[in-house]
This record gives sequence, structure tokens and C-alpha cells, in this order.
Amino acid sequence: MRMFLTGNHAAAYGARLARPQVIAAYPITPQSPIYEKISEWDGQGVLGVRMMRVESEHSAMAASISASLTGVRTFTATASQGLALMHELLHYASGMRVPIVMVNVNRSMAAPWSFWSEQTDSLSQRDTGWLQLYAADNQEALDMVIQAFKISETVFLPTMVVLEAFYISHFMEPVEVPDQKSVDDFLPPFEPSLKLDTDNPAAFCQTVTQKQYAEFRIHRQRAMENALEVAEVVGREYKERFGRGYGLLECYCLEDAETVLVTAGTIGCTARVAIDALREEGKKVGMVRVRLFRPFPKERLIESLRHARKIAVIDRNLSPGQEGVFCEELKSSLYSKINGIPVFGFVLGLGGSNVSPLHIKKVFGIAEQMNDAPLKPILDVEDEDAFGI
Amino acid sequence: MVTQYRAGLHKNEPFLAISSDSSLVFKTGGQRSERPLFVTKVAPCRHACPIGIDIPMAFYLASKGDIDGALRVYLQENPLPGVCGRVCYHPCEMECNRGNFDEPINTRSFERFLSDHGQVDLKGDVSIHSKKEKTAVIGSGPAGLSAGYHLARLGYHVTLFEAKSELGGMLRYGIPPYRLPRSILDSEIERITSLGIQIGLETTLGKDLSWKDLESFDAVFISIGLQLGKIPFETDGSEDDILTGVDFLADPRKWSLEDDTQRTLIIGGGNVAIDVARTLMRLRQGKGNNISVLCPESRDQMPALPEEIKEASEEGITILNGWAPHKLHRGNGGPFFLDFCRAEVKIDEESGTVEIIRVGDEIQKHMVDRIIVAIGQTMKSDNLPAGIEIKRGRIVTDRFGRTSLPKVFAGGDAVGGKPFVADAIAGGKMGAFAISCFLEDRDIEAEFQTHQMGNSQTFSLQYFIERPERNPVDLRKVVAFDQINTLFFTESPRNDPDKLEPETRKRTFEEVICGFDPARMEREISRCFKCGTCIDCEICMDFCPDISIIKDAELGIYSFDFDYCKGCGVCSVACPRNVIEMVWETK
Amino acid sequence: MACAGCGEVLGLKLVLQAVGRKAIAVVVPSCLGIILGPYPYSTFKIPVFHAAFETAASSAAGISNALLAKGDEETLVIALAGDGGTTDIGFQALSGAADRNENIIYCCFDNEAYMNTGIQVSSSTPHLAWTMTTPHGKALKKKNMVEIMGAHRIPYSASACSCFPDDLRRKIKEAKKINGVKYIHILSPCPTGWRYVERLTPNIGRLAVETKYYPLYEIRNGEKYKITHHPKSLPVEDYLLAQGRFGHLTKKDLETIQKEVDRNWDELARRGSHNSSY
Repeated sequence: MRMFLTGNHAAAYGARLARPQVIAAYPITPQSPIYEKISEWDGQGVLGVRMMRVESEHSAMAASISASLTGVRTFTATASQGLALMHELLHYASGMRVPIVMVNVNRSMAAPWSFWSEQTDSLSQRDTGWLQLYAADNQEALDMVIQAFKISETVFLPTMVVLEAFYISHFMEPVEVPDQKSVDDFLPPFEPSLKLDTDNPAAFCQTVTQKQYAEFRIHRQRAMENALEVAEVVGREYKERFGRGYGLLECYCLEDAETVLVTAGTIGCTARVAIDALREEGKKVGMVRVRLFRPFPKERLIESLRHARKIAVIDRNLSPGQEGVFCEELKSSLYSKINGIPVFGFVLGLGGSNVSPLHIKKVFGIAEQMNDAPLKPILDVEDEDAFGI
Repeated sequence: MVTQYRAGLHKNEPFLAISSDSSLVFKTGGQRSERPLFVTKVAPCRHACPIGIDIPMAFYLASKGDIDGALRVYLQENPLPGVCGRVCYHPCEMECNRGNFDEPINTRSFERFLSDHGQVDLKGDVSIHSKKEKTAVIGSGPAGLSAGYHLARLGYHVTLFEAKSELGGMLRYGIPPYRLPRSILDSEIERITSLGIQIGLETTLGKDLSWKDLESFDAVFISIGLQLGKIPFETDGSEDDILTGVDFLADPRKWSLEDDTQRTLIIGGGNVAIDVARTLMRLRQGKGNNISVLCPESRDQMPALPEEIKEASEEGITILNGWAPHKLHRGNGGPFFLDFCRAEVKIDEESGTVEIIRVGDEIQKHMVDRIIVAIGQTMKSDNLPAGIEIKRGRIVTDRFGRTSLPKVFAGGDAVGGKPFVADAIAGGKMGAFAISCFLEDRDIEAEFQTHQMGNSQTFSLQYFIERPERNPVDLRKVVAFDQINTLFFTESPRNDPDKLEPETRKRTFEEVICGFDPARMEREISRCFKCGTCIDCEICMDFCPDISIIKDAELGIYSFDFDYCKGCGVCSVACPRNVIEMVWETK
Repeated sequence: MACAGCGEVLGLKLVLQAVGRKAIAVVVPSCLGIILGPYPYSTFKIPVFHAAFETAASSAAGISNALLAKGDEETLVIALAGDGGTTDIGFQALSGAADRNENIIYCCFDNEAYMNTGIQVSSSTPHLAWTMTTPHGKALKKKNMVEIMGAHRIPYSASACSCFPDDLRRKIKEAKKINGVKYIHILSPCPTGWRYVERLTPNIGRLAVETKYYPLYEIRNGEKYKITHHPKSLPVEDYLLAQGRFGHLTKKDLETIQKEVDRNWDELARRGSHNSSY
């Protein structure tokens, strides 16, 4: 059924269709409408969920972990400060291999205070062992949430579905909402064999020795690596059933592209407009938009960039003292695989500032003109002098 | 299609830190430097009791509702609980640990309660006539009854000789019925004689029974007591109106003392004197205006039991302290004139000798019609076998009751020692023990050491017969008050029995002290700490942090799980009654 | 797996025995975390989740809701935490769970400091006590959790002591019958941190109560107070001077504490006396 929804509500529908059993949540702008929508459904009695209106995000994650260990499907949502508050427990959830699905609405990290979109909050958590999916529009938001449950429950790792504040969360778009039965067929009930169960009593998460710990970490790494394939398979299955498929990357106008833009999130949608315009002018430009960030799809990226002569990366985030995270991760994947290709790292849209097609055209322009890519990221394209670093 | 990508691990590889193995593999017992032991010890009441009755065990059984079992415990050492429960001077109560906490337990009333309410048929327990040896007991007072009882329990043939027409000795002829009803005494004696003891009444040594007759016995126990009263003055004229207390009490109505106008003076400060006074009061239908008791001792020094003195005062008997008889005059047939001088009594702590010292010159003159003297007794020692050593009017024995003659033993008042019923019973028990060792050719010193309690004369005859199964028992260890964990007890007042009203009781010979009703007895029983005896309270189990005290439900036995016991000692402190000890681990 | 003479594992044993097998426990870092045993050996016979430090209440609440989502109204959920994990870092989660009246039994095992990490002060450490981080004695007073939880108006908030086994067991059994948050604060004497010979744990625990220093009582719905043990009213110094951690107290300190104890007791008795029908 086609509905006109905000990104938040689309994600909420995705969650509802997945039939979670326990939702523990805490409000934070710009995530609150997800929590509110779910509360409205709960009040109407249509959700069949135990709602826990907890007193902080930390408790939300704690309750989600223990509920999941008791063998029920759990969902939650948060943003920036709330995600950061959960940080310790994100490690914990991944360590305990619980298949929680969480929507994180990218919002700038304080200080100073800002409510608009920036990816630094979710990217700061990239080492916690969660899968991360970056949505570019409201449809992807809904679809990714449903697929995330299936991926998580296969590999037993938690997944974060990342939306951008306001650009996705609050903007309305037409969204195709699948029917419940189709989703039930796609996503069977969650019935793990290992859980807190008085019929099979066991102690979960005790102290381990150094070697045992290393072993657990190795297992998790293998599961992460395995998740790449699982995500692709799930994506294919989803396409077969619902008609919309994504894969780990969106490749746009790549066939003969000489300068390729690598980015994630809504900037990718804006980039399509810029690329179409540039193509009209005869420029051979294209884009690879990263959807699955963790585990990082190295092979797929290398494959898709094999023929590019120059790569520009736009990061709506910045790791202080380094550069944009997508750029950094891309460079490390390309190292010794594709030699000599210059990678220009751009950091735009911090704090939610607008990235227009014009900015993106300028990005392509700069990449075209410079031969050697600077080590440091280019932080501004408005000021002509700014990029003479 | 997706399922084949599940985790990518073998089924047995744990990918989650989930444990289901038990931690019992960690045997924390290896940490121990000390280990706990259950050791039953002697309670101070038991230690103080000359008879060595296992009082805490009796309280424990009674607390579970097993009155018969509790009585049986008493009967293992003491054949006369109904008697002691009424007349004993209760050294047990004086040493009672509870007395240091709030007030001592009313152990004497407990003993009486058991005797009044319990039923025990001894005949099934003991090995009557299982041995061939024949023993004789001379004198059926408490010492003789006790000796006969224990000898019968040990399996020997016993013949009990008594000069008077009824058994009981001083129990019958000395203690008045308002303290010890005759029916009680009779049933107590019946229980003893039912053990197949032969009785010879109205058989006096030297007259009806010669020492030669006794030679056919394998062992003889002499317990003839001190039947003769002492009269301290030289008198002129007939002595009919001067009686000894013992003669009076043996048959109070024989002496025409019912006339309450006869001014009657009783000399003496002990129980006999008090008994005489109160008996006389009752003969005179409660009119006590002409009855006085005089003694040289101060009120506190009077050897009579304080409660007896109190009861006598309540009944209106005049007691004058600090006066010693000085001189007696009598004209022909008229009243006596008795001079008393102010006196003081000095008791030598060590030797126990009592010295009466005149103080000042003051003389008090009393004019009296009758005098009853109760200042002590002596032994009738003619007719004792030749060669038996006698010193200062008492038969000489060693601490086991052996006399200078082989196969002749003695106990009770006749050998001296404390002049109380309990001590006499203890003497009889000791005699039976000594006779048994003699006849079985056992080393009496070694046997005594094994069953001795603390460092006293008290020992357990029951353990001599049959060592207890449960827990090691260390009879040498007496539980002191500081070893009781009073944090587990709440203060509560002592329960005392009701007594008849003085105005009523002084006119009759009815028993003055009433027994406890079961509800009040239960309250008193719950006050007893049961020092040194495990009562299955399981406080140790509750407190063991390592779940290392286990109960064998079938056998009802507790033990320690030394695989896990860390020797922390918490159980030894938590046990309120000091049953658990910590001992060093030895390799 | 505890120290010899540990008063906390004693309380834990009593709690688990009273709770039974149809229960799931949450344990957080504390001495309990160590007592739980190392992987792969468990000292518990029921399923137990060793959660993050400050999440005892929130993790327990999560399990409780998951069970309800599965239609299981029978299995109990018990949260077991130390004093640090309850009165300090875990306080928020506990307050939130109490506000929502989640169906959990929360047991705080109070050994009055962060003992597992080496005796550091917590807000549950009593006035003037020595710890490694208050070597001259704690200047602040002890946080009264039973009252705080009572003020949340949860159905049942109670103080207990591992050295009063019957009282503790009864309170757990009582808690099992009630729906909502049941908070049981269990004083757990610690020979290692309180500095006394380990065998004396029973006496230390009992003296705490008998001196009125730590009264045993319960509060229902924040209103009905009931004192569950009438103390002997021994002087507080009998309790305090038996422990090395109070060895530095002066006579004036003892008087101060005795006054505090008497005042607190009088107030408690006043509240308890209003419930004559109870």
C-alpha cells in the first residue's frame, strides 16, 4: 500500500511489520516521532508489543539486550546523545550476539548543541561490532529495517539502520508499505535455541580468560565477515518478494565514469541530480553510494571502482585529527589493490548544513582539476581559496 | 537459502559466553587451615549436678514434646526425679548460664514436671539379672536406693536391707509430706524395686542381719546414714521433752506436741530445723504463736534453703538469728529455762568447718515447754564390720566409695560430704560404679577418667553403660557463659510455680508447691539454652556461607562437607550453644 | 567462590533458596559477579545474566517484559546487585524501574562499599567508616535506600540482614506474592572490608540490628510501616568497635552516632506505630 510518510514513520512501519515483542525506548529529537507512532499503535492495541517507556537510552539498550537474551525480538531507536549514552552497551550487545535492530537518526553530537543531520554519531560507534546500514530516502528506511531483522537473526549480530535527521526523518515522501502477510512470509518468528530459560538454566556472560576472550572476538569477526554475504542474499530475497532490491552499494552511472563520487545517505540523492547535469555537459562522472557500512564492503567497492581514474568522497562527518570516515575506510580498502588512483576527501554538510547539487558539481570540478589528492580532507567548497590546501 | 549462512560455525563451538557446567569442580576446601567439628559438651547445670544428669538433652527432648524421652534421660542417672524435683537444693540453677543472661532456668520444677507427667517403663531397657553376682545394699535412703537401682541396671542381683518398716530413709522419715508427698515417694520407690530388687524390711544390721550373713554377697554397699540427732547440752532431769529433730520428723504425732499452748523452741538453722517448725505448725492447725526457731547463723548463713526459710516466714514462723544455746536449767517437770548468748558463725571456706563464736556478754533467757534440737546428726556405728575405718564419726572411703575393707563400699551421709539428697544419690551411683569395676576387674581410675565431667566428682554412668552414638562428646569441656551466643536469645523472666497460700497451707500437710501446667512449662523449656547439646536448630546450616553443612535426612545426622568447607568458623560462632569447635587442620 | 566468612554469599544463598527454580536472575559487577564463577562454570542453578554494572534494574525489567511478551507470568525475575550498583551508578535504572513498577524482585546486597574492587567508598558506606578512599572516615552519611524506594510507592520495600535468615526468607517469600517492584536491602557483613575476624560474621550482622543501627522493617506502598524485629537496644559501640573500620572513632564520634541511631529509631517507631492494625 502506498502511503505518504515521513522517514521516521516509514521506519516505524518497518518495525511494526517485523512484529517485535519488546520495545524499550526513550525520546530524543529527531527520533521522537518513531517512539510516538509506536506508542500510538500500542495505545490502539494493534502492536502486540510490550512497551518499556524507560528513563534513559542506556536503560533502553540494557532492557533490549536482556529481553533479546530471553528469546524475544527487540527493536529500539535513538539519535546522537542517546546513542553515545548507549555506547558501553553497544559493545555489550554485540559481544552477547543479540540480534537487536535499532534505528539511529543521525544528529550532530554536542557540544555545541545542534539537532540537524551529521553522521559522526553513528560512525563513532563503528568499532562496537554493530552492522550499520545507511538509508538515502524514506523507502530505504522502511525496507532496511525489515531486512535488518532478517540479517541480524541469521548472523546473530545487532544492526543499526541509520537515517539522517530531518532530511529523511521529517521529510515526507511516498512510500510503498508492504502487507503484513508478505513480511511474515519473508521474516519468520524469532526462536533462538540459546536463551535465558528455566528449563535449560545457564549463566550468560561470565568472566573469561584472555585466550577465551580472543576466541570470542575471532568468532564475532567471522560472523561479521559472513554478514557481507548474508546481507546480499537477504537483499536479493527481498527484491524477489517485494520488487525493490538494493545490494550493498548503489552504483549510478558507473559504466564509463572517470571520476567517481563515493558517498552515503541523502547526499547520494543530491549527487544523482548533479551527475545527471554533468553528464549533460559531457563529463564522465558517476557515483557509488555505500549502503552497508559495517561490515565494510571492501571487495564490492574495489570491484566497482576498478576503472575509475579519480575518486572523490563526500563525508557528512569528520573524525577530528583525521578525515571523513568513509574516505578513510575507502582508502584503507583500496590500498595496494588499486594503486595510484587519487582519492579526494571532502567533508561537507557538517552540522546538517545543506549540500546542494552545486556543491557536488564543485566537488567533481576540484577532483578533475587537481592531479594529486591532498592528505588532509577538503573542508569547504564555497570559498575559492579554501581548497588550495 | 539464508539459513546456510548462519554464524558459519560448528554446532559445538560456543559463540556466546554461556556456561552450564557446575562450579562444584572448584573444591574450595583446599583453602582451609582450620576445620569445624561437632562436639557435644557438658552444660554447667549438668556439671554442677552431683548426679550428672544430662539436663540439656532432657530439655531438648521435652521441647520436641517427648516428655517420656526426657524423663528417660533423667532416669539414666537419677532414680528419684520426683523427689529431687521437689526437694533438691538445685545447684544446677545456681550454675545455669541463663542466670548470667537474665534469670536461671527453673530446672527443679522441670524435673518434677517430667516425673509428674512422664511415663517410662524401665524393665524393657535394662539387663536385669544378666550377671550372676549378688550385691547387698544396707539402708534404703536416697544413697541406698540409688545404689540398688544402678546395680540392678548394671545386671547384678540386689538385696536391699532396711531397718525400718518402710523404704525411703530420710526421704520418708526426714522430709515432711508437704514438701514430698508420700504417694510420690512410694511410686518413685516402686519404680526402683520393680527392677527385681529383693527387699528385707525391718532388718537391722547387727540384730537381724550379721556381718557374717553378708559374706555370701560378692559386694556390699553401706548407706546407713546419720540416724542420731545431737543434743548439745548436758541436762538434768528427764530428757523426754528434749527431742532431736530427726526423732520428731520420723513420727511427728508420737510426741504429743499438738497442743499449741506448749511453748516450743527449735534450735538449729538448717533444713531439718525449718522442717520441724513447719511440721509443728501444721500439727497445731496453723497456730504458730508458740513456735520459735533460734540459730547462731545470720539469716544469710543459715544452711537451710532460702526458699524454705521464705516459706516458713510466710507461714508466720519466728526465726531468731545470731543466738547460740548457752545453758539449760530445768526444775522438776516444769518449763525449761534456756539461756542464749549472742553468737556469730565463722565458716572456714577451705575445710568447711563451722565455728560458733560467742559475741559479747548479752544473754537472752527463754522459758519453754518443749525443745527440739536440730543441729546435726551422727552415725550409729556399732554393728559395722570389724576393721572398717571410721574417722570423726564417718566411714572412711576413697573418692570412689571404697572402704578399707575389700568388697565393702559406702556412700551417702554415712561417709560425710554434702548432706543433700542429690549428693546421696550421687554417692549411691558412685558405689554401684565402683562395685561394677570391682566385680568386672576394670581399672576404676581409667574408667572414671573416661566418663568424668569437667574436673569434678560428677561422671556419667549412662555413658559407662553405653556410649552415645551421635557426635563426639567431650565430657571434660564445660560450657561457660561467654561461649553462649546470647545474640540468638531474647530476655524473658523466669517462670516459677504457684504455691498454696500461707494461711491455708500452714494448716495442712498438702504439698505447698504446685507443679507447672504444660503451657507454663513449655515457656520455661524454651528459655533453656541447651548448652553444649545439638538440638537440630540448624542455625549452623542457615549461616554457612558455603553450603557445607549437610544433613543426612534419613539418619538425621549433620556433617561437614570438607570438599568445600573453607574453615571460616562462622558456624562455630553462630551455634548459639557452643557445639561446634574449630580445630587446626593436620596433615 | 567468596571470601571465607562472607556475609553476602550467605544472604545470596538464603535468597536463592527462597526464590526457587522457576526464576531468572540478573547479576551485575560486584562481589556477586565473582561469586557467579568463571566461564564455563556457574554457581547458580537458575539461568542468570551477568549484565553491565549500572543495569541491574533495567536488565531485569527487560527480561520481565520479554517473559510477559511470551505469555509467561510464572517465572520470577530477580535482580541481584551490590550497594554501589544500586545506590550509586545503578540508581537511575532502579528509580526508572520503580516508577514503571516493573515486576521484579530487586535485592541489594549491601556490604557498604565497593568491596569487589578493593574497598572504595560508596554512598551506602556509613558515617565515619574507613574505606580505602575515605581513609580518615567518611564525612557523609549513608543513603537510606529503603526509604527512597518507599517514597517511590512501590508495593514492597524492606530492610533485611543475612544474619537473620528467617526474616530474610520470609521477606523474599512475601515479595514473591506481590506484583511490581519489590526492593529488599540486605545488610551483608564483610570481614575483608569491615575488618574483623571472619568467623564473627553472625555476631556483626546481629549486632547491627540489635543496636538499632540497622533496623529490620518493611514499607508497603510507601505508607504502611512495620518493624519486623524488635531489637535489644544494645549500645552502638558494641557493634562499631567490633570492626576495624570504626577503630578510629573517638568517644565523641560514638556519642554522635548513638544520637543519630536513636533519632532514626524514634522516627521509625513513630511511623510503625501508626499501623496498629497491621
